[in-house]
Amino acid sequence: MRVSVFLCKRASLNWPPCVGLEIHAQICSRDKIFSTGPVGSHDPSPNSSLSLFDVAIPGTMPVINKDCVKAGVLTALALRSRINSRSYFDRKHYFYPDLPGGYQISQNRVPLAVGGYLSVYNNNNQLINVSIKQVQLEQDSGKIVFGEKTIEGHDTLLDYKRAGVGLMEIVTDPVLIDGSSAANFIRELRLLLKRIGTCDGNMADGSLRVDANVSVRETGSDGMGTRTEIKNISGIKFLKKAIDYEIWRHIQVLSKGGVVLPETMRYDERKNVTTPTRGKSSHQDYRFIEEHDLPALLIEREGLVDECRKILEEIPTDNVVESLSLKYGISLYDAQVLESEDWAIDLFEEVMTQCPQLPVKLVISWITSELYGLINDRDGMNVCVGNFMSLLILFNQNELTGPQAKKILRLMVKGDSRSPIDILHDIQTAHYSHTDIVDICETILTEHKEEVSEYISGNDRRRKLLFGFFMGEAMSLTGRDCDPKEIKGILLELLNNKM
Amino acid sequence: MAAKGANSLLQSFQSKISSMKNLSHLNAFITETIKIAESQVMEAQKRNEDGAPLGPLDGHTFAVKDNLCTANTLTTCASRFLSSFTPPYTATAVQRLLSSGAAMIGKTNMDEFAMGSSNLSSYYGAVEHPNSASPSSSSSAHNLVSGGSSGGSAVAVATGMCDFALGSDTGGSVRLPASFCGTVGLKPTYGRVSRHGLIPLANSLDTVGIFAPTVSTAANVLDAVSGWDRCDSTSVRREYCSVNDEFAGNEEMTTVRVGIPKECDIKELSPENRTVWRLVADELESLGMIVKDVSLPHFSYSVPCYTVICSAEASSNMAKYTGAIFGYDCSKAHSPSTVDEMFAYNRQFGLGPVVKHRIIAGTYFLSYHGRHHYEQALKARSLIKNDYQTVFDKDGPDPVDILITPVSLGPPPTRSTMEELGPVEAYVLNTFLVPVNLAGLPAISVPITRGEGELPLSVQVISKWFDEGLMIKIAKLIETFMRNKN
Repeated sequence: MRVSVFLCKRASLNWPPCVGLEIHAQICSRDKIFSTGPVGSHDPSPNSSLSLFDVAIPGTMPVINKDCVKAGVLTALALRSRINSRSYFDRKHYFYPDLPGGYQISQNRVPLAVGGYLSVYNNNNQLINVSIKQVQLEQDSGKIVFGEKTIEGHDTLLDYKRAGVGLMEIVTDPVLIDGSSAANFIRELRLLLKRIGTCDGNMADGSLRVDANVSVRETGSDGMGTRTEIKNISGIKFLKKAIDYEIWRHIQVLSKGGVVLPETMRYDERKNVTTPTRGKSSHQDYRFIEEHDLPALLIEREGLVDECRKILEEIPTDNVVESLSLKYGISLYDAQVLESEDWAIDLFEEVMTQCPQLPVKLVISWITSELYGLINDRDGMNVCVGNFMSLLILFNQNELTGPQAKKILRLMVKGDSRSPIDILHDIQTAHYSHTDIVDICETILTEHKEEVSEYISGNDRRRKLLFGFFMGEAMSLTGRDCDPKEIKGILLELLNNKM
Repeated sequence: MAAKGANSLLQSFQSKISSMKNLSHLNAFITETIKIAESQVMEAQKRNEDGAPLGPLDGHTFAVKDNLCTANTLTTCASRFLSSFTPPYTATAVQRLLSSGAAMIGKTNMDEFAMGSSNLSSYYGAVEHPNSASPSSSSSAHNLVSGGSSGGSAVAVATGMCDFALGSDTGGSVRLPASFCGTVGLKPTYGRVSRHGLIPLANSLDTVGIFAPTVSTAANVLDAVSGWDRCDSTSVRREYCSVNDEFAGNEEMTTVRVGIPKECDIKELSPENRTVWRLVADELESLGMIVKDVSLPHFSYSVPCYTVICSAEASSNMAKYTGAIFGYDCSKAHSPSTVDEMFAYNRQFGLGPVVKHRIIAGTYFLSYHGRHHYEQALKARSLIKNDYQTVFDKDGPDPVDILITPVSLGPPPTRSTMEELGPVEAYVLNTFLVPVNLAGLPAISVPITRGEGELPLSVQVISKWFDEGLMIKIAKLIETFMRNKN
């Protein structure tokens, strides 16, 4: 089933959607939030480096980690939230094997901070303030590993290594209207958290997790529609798709006179559909009770707010897209494309700071069209920033041709850590076999499709000119050792095959 | 504690151990740790011979209620669920006693997870009342309950098996068995003694309490275990000075204002218990203290309020007993096919009926449909606490420094009486005790005399928050003049 964006947009005129996000951001801290168990220890084995409290050994008690409180306050201030000078911890109960104590310590009565906003671009390139409902501190659960029957015939394995890691739960008001504005919000939030250093923002390994509440209401009606909650969406791309699908599904159900059930949904990435989860229902009774083992969290007394305000004076917390566009005179579109990859903004800003002589357009295009095309999400960016800068400088000074520079970049992404000059030297002096030269010529022709079709349809004069261009490209990539006659023969043969 | 000669430490140890052996039918202990204790006493004796004892508790023996964690020693909470649980750490209170040179001789029997007032709900069987020890005691004494939930610790101290003992007091679990067995039972202010390592029943009410033959021993123990602990965030960070003090003279006594809460004079109070309560009040007045009636208007809400709050918190604290990580494992006897089933079996077969009753009640009180009871109870609790704040308020219209009340309604009931009572009715035994926990105040149960059937009678002294110093001075005074009288 595919969702037509057009249909969805038209339908949402009659059924305006309301989307709210609930973000769980793991706090970057040395220790867990209520124990001295280490966070992110180097020991990769499951259930390693646990403290007794992390696995709820009877009689052990929570002790608040001040670093986690500080991270929460920093985050709340960066989101312009109002810090509650006195907040409380509560226990939220549910039986699930990943929860060692049978309850999660969270903040239910009075959270760490309320209100605030984050400025985000919507689809029409307007900057809107997405209002924040609250920021609260809580503990993470362990992980359940459903797998093959590996260890002693058990097929459900429990890893409590993550249990007790500090979380910031950031809840937005239901003011977002579609998947892409939600995606923009998460992109901005991620960068903000990374800048202030309270969360590493890694969605792939679960440091940043997003749930979305979706409802639609009929135009003219006062109340909100019934809400469903999409849980555990992995990655920003899927967040957008999942929300858009869910909005579409609500509208489908309601416009046919049906009823939306208040369910918890799971998003199937392959089929691009949401399905109700079994297990925890969204109307579960959590039987909240005060966490008497922790006194009220008194923020003013710690002088923390002033300390955090000082830290934030040094860190920009404006909308990243807007500030990039203003600072470098680039389009909002370019800035948004830069924002869409984890590493791209840092790289862009570093290049611009170190090499102000480079034209901004050139830097953007080498990042967003060349590097984006070469790097897949899983491995991330591994190119040395210094080498990347020298490459752009050489290219900008016409010491490298486009194809040469691209070839060097491709080698750099594959792990070649030599300087571009060294790589170029190698390319130029390398001895190429006949098949090598065929490969190179084929690449040139596939990279210049327009020229090739022009060649095919062009007159003799045009052909001669274009052939000269292909020859030049091939010569610059193969170096002077190669026999131009050999190259000429190969190119002619390849081009003739295409006619 | 009087200084003892070098040899007498070991001699005293040997005599305690022989009482322990001779009175094993009382079922006071779940686990004995005599061997380790003996070597500790021997070390203490060496220190004593060198003239460098660690302090007043060096070389003295103590017993620990089996809900306080002890590294390398079973800690069962008298439950099947924890019947093979050996904690990897030691509770702060126990550790502090060990550091003062005291030797732990064993872990004492109790009501399962400290839920009960008569010590009948232990997986290891009931604790017998100390009067059962004496061959001359009447046959009916064999059926008396020791009181609970810290019955084992109370009996161990009352029968001389150890010099003192630790218990836990959530709604009277130290003071009630202390009064039934005739020992001193001290409940400190909430926050005075670290709860780290105390397996919780109701964590806003739980305190680590002390049993001792005399008030001054109890005070020495309190000195040793008190104070801030980084592992318990509710433990109080304040300068601690010894509470083991006495009145300097009569002049100081005449400034003390003693309150007699009139709401405690209920019709269910036995004549004997009413008599000793009045007797103590009269004695204090004759020493020059100002004794007056005070009112605690919300006193009668205490038991229902406690019932709701204690069950609600217990249901939360008991949520971790699923057997996923530690404790009872049903998989040998039954074969659960899902995780939910495993949790259910472990709880079904690992926990006793009283515990299940409390979990179910507490779960209801916290759930959507029963929550109004819990919220009502929270309101009642603040009214009850406020009553005490009013009578203790030094700027108030008619303040007092100390309150004297009965401890129990009457003598220890028989086993069959208790078994006939439902789990909720049994709370009535703690009428005079639970409001103190709800308010977080310190209190001490002081034995006064023996009444009918040679059964002990006690009164309760309650002081302001963290005013254990005055509470102990008064308790010592009462102890002294009653000793002179008897």
